[in-house]
Amino acid sequence: MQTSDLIFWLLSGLAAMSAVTFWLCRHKATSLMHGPIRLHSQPGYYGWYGALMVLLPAVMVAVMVGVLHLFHWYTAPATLLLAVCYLIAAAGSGVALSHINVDFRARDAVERMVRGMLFGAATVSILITIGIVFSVLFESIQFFKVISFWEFITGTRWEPDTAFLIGAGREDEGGAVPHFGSVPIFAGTFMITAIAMVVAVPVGLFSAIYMSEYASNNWRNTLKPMLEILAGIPTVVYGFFAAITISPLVVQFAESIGFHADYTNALAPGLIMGIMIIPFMSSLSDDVIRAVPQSLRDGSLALGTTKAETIRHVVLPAAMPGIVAAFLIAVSRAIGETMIVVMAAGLRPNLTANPLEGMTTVTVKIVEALTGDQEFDSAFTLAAFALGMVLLIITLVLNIISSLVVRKFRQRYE
Amino acid sequence: MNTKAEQKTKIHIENLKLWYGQDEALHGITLDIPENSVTSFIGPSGCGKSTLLRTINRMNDRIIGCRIEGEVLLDGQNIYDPQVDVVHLRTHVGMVFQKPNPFPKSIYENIAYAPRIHGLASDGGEMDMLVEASLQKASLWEEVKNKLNQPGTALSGGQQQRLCIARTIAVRPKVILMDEPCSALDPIATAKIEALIEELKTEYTIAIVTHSMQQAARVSEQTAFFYLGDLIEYGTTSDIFTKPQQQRTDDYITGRFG
Amino acid sequence: MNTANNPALQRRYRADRRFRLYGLLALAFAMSFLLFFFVDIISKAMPALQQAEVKVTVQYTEAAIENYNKAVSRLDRRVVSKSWLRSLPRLLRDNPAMIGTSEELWVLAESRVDQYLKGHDGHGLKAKYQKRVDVLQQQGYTRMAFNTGFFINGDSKLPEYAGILASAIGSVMVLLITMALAVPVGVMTAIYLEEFAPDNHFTHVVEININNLAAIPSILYGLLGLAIFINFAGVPRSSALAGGLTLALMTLPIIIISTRAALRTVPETIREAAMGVGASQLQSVWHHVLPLAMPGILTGSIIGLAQAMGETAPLLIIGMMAYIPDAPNSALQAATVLPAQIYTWSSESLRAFEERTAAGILVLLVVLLSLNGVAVWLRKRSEQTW
Repeated sequence: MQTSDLIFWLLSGLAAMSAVTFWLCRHKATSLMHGPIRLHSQPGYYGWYGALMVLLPAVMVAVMVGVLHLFHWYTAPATLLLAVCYLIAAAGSGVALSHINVDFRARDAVERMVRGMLFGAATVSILITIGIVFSVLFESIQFFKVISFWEFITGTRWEPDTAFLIGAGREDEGGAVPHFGSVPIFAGTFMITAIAMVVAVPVGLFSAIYMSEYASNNWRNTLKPMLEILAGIPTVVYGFFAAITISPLVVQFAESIGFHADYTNALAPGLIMGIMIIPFMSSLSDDVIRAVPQSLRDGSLALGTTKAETIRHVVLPAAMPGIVAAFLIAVSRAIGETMIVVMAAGLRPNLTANPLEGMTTVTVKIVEALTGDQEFDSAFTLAAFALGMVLLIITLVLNIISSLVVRKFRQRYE
Repeated sequence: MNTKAEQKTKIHIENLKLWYGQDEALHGITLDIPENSVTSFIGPSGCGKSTLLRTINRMNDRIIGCRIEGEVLLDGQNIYDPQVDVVHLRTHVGMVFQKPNPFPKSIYENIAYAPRIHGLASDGGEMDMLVEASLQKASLWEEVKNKLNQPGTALSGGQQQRLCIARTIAVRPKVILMDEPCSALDPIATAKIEALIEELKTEYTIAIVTHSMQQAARVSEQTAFFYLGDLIEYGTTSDIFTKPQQQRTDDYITGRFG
Repeated sequence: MNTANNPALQRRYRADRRFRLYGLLALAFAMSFLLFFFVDIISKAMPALQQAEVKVTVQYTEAAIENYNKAVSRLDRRVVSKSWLRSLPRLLRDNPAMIGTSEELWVLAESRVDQYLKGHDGHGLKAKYQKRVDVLQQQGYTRMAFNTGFFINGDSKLPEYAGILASAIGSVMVLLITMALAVPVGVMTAIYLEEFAPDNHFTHVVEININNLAAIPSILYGLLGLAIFINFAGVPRSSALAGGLTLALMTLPIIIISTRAALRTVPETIREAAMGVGASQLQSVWHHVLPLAMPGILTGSIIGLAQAMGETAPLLIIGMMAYIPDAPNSALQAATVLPAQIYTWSSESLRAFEERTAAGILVLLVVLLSLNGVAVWLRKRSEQTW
């Protein structure tokens, strides 16, 4: 039996059984109600109680068997699994029917079960985190068994091309030794991030100041959605635009003033990434600027300061923690951004301070390693997970710092 | 209490203490509320009068960190007994809130919602009758009978509050709690609500929290005066307002603080 | 109070105006970029809406069944699209009566011819064929037709035959899976956190965790999808299911956060009103809070799904940039999505792919901006003051 068939039979069988149980339970509840006898709950609740008693235990067992199967611990024959689930469902139906009497509080029971389901949904997010951490950690450990952590962190040469020899057990045959020094990759990432922030911070911040302090409500209601269009443009589109339109412009411009620029220069993806980040920067800053109490502004204006002086000396310092938090979030966006750099930045790790040269980033290397035709266990593909782990750590640290800063800010004004 | 000594006690509160987290908000309140009469709770802000009112239908259960000691007996049954179903309790003890809060649905649906979920009337003629009767009792029928399908939120503030009262009546409660029901209303609407309370007390036991001492004097038989989580004085309204036993009660009703 | 003869004050006012100007400049910069961007993309995409066709004489001979090249004259062989030539043997086998006849037909032109006729640099058409095309053009045997093929074909190595249909269907499949998983789980999580969760350690951990998840770069979700769904759970690589699962995880925090915000806008008085008439907590949420929060939940879900629809990076990692000429029939078959299709086209070297990439982008942008527009409209319409 195919997995899809199994799922189909399981779900349709359980659906049918729960529908029948719903009807039986509701019928029994209604028949109990005659004359002065009043039930605790509406009859529908008895029906739902029955339906849930059929579904929940059977589905839970099916999911558990599925997990066992995934971990290769135990694989139940499909027919056996189906039979067991049907039996459990039937048992649930019987138990539900026997529970129903005049004193039974069906609504409470249903609410408990629904609450349990909601709780179950809430645990999914925890599972995702565990999944992400484990998936990068597990493969990274494999990687660091082969490549020293110290070389990875401090090495300045990233030349993994011969890594497949290690996997093939031929590392002693005198071929070129692969190097996994990630410094040039991170240098490229930080360079492009820095260029992006040079664009995003002033434009985002001044836009936010203008919209929250100067613009009329109507103006603001037009400008804000327009800025948000920038956030709605998919990154692959930005990547295309950076590679096809902006890079050649950068090259032409550099040549016109006597410099040489690569087509994979860091400037083009950096600029475009900065533009992509403007709306994050502006809307987060806008929120905190507007959260600064009006009384502070009034107090300053009443001393005879101009609006700009009030903003510079009172509003911005008060909003600073929030702006810093916005900045940190924007930085983590830029570091983790993938498509723009994959399409517009280079593939060659290059340790340089010249933004006109081609350089590569962490995310580019991850994509390169995992979309090639290397087998999964080679050090080359495992390196992607090690890079991913560093990326995860950086993002989490930035996010945690920014939420701590924001909490401080909120405590001050709320 | 001498005037209505023959009256049955509807609610008996015994040494009730309540904490919000670490803060003790009620310090052991003991109080009897007689049946089919109006009892008002007065006192300065933060004295615990609203908190006490909300313990009578366990609305405080919703507040995280709220803890209770002591007993509240409704017809001799402790409503904090684990056996008691809080939802059933609230059908017996209805509540009208400070700010009128009709559901953003039609006037008809506002009334019909609770009877429907409790299975008190089946949809159709039976429900129509219940809606009409409830609106009649809340003196709102004449004003809204031609616009039952319009949203309840489109009514004036006073009408909204009477709609909330009608909504409460539709569940046939024994007790109606009112938490400053007129504080958001103008004087004319307030007068209508007060007249309504006067009518309702023949059928229902009413407890009302009010900021206005005149209102307490106008509508209630008994008055309880609270201060900083303590019940300072409790007696017939005329006694409280004409010959208070406690200095602080006297100070409060004569406007020396509060 | 005369400012005219107070130089210090005048200086301060000038500073004030300058400051305001900076704000305007920042906005002007962003807006002019937006304008430049759209003009650039649209002007690059417009040529792709038209596709060159040429009129050639087709000889339906016995020989053409074995070698389709023989159906047209030697000179025309490289002028017409191979995709059309390849379809001839089958046509003849199905309709043997046609053999021995010939006719003049408008057929799809080869991409280099198309580019040459559109006057694009780098068309790559050899001089020999340029002359032939010039002759055809003088005879009126070339024309530009609306590029229907772009919307009804799948991917192809022949640019003139490549279309977005397969990837669009892939996108829809992935999006449906994402929606079916992320929306219910996200809304349920939000309801739990906002309406039921006790104020305890676990709740705090979940809340912090969701904020962190929302900040994790999308590519890491790709690593998760690769390591867990594909390598561990055995979901087929490149399949719509793998893509949908991965994007569902990525979208989940967005939906949770926006649903919580929507639930929070429902005033506490509504919950009190419901409970005051004896509704249970679940009834109050189900009958009152949820319906009132629904527009906000929809808005958040649409924005989250639009984001998932434009996402590429995690899908590259799980192999959804495969070459997919035909739309997948099931969620387990290899599929691609519109953004991934754009990515693969953008790395093709033939000049004709560039305008197709831009056209694909235009289609994607129109869909995404309309989705976002619907979301904004929903939010506007339901804005309620309590």
